[in-house]
Amino acid sequence: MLGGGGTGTFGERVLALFRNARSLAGVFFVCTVLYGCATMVPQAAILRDSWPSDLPLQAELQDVPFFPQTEYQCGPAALATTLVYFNVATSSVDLIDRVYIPARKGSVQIEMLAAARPFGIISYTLEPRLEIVLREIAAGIPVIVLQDLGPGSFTAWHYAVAVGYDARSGTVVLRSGDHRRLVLPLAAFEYTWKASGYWAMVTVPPSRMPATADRNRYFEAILAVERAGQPRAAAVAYEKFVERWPEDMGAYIGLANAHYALGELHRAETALRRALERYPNSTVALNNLAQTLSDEGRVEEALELIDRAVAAGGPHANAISETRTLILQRSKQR
Amino acid sequence: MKPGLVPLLCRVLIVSLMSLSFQSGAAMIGTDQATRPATHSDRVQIQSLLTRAEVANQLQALGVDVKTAQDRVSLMTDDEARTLADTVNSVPAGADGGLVVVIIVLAIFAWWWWYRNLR
Repeated sequence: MLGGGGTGTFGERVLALFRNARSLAGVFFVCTVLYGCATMVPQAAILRDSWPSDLPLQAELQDVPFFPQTEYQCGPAALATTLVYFNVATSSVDLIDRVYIPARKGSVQIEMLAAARPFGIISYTLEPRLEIVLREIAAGIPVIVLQDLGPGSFTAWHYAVAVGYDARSGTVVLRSGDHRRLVLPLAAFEYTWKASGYWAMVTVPPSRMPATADRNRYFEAILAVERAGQPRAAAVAYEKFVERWPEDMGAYIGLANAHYALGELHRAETALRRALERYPNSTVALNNLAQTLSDEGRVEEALELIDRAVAAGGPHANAISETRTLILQRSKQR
Repeated sequence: MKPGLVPLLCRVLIVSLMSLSFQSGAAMIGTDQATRPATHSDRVQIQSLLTRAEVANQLQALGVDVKTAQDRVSLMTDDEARTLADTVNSVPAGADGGLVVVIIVLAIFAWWWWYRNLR
C-alpha cells in the first residue's frame, strides 16, 4: 500500500505552513466544514483509497514553461503555457487579444478552446474526473483547469495548469498565478476545482492524441480545427484518428476534405478509397470521390461513381445531384 | 435590431459566406455536413450566421474591438457560438490567482486527511 510520512514530518510541515497562513480561525472553520471530507472531495477520496494500478505513481512535466500572470490574465497565461510547451510561437501577452474580455475582467472557457485553433492546435475538453487529468499528465500532456478560489460563496474563477502529481504525498503540481510550482493536496485541488464542474482542457499538436480522447468528442475537436481553416492540422489529426479508429467513416471524409482543401487531390482520392473499402455504399464518399476525380480530369470514372451515388438516394441526394450536374458540365467542356 | 448590429451583421455574413467554402470546394460534401446532415438546411445555416453576429456584437459591448471580436467568433463552432450567445455575461471568466491563503488553509487539512487514511 502507499506509505505516508510520519507525524514528525507532518508536524514540521504544518508549522511551516502556519507561518505563511494568516488565518487561524480559518483552519478551524475548514476542519469543521471538511469533516465530511470524502463527500466533499469524492474523487480524491477514491484515488486515496484505491490508486489505479495502471496509473504511474508520480509524474511531473518539468519542461512546461511558466508565464507568471499579470492582473486578470490567468487565461492568456495558462493557454500560453500549454501552447508554448508544444512549440507554438506565442506568449501570454499575444493571447490577451484572443481570450481576454475587458468588461468581464477575464477569459471564458469557450474562448480558451477556440483560441488554440488558429495555431493548428487541437483543443479538447477532458472528461470531468481527477483521474483523467492525472492520466494526461502521465502521458506528457499538461492540463488547463478552471478553479474557484473564492472562500465560501464568493466566487473567484482562475485558470491554472496541472503539470505533475504524486500519489504518495497525495499532491498535484500547478503552474498558477505567480507560482511556478504550486503543490496542492489532491483534496484541496478537487475542492477548488469542483465548482467549475471539474472542467479541464488540453491543447495538443495534431500528431498527438490526448491519452484519454473519447472518439466522438475528439472527432468534434478536429472538426472544429478544420472549420477554423487549418486543413494541414486537420489532415494530420484525422490521419491519427483513423489509425486509432479505422472504422470511423466521418474521419475518412474529414481526411479527404482536408487534403482536398490543400489541393492534394491524390491524397484526397486515397482517403476516400479507404473509406469505400469499408463502406462501399457511402454516398458521401462516392460523391466526394467523384468530385475529386473530376477535378483530376478523370471524368468517366467520376460519372460512374456519381451515378451510383444518385441511384442510392439518401440524405445527401440534393448535394449529390448538384455534383452530378457540375461533373456533366465539365465533361461537356472538354 | 440594435443599431450597431446591422452593419456588423453584414460584415459577418460576408466573411462567413466566404469561409463556408471550407465545407465545399466545388461540390464536396463537408465533414460536418457528412456526419450531421440534418443540421445543414439553409435555415439552420442562416441562423448560425445570425448567432455569430450576435456574439460578436456582445463581445464588442464587453470591450473587445470590432475586428478582434469577429475573428474570435469565427473560430468558434456553431454550438459554442450558440452557447456563448446566451451566456457570455454570466459564464465563468477566469481572472486571478489571488486568494492563495485560502488554499494553504485547505492544504493543511487536506494533507492531514490524506495521511490519516494511509496508516
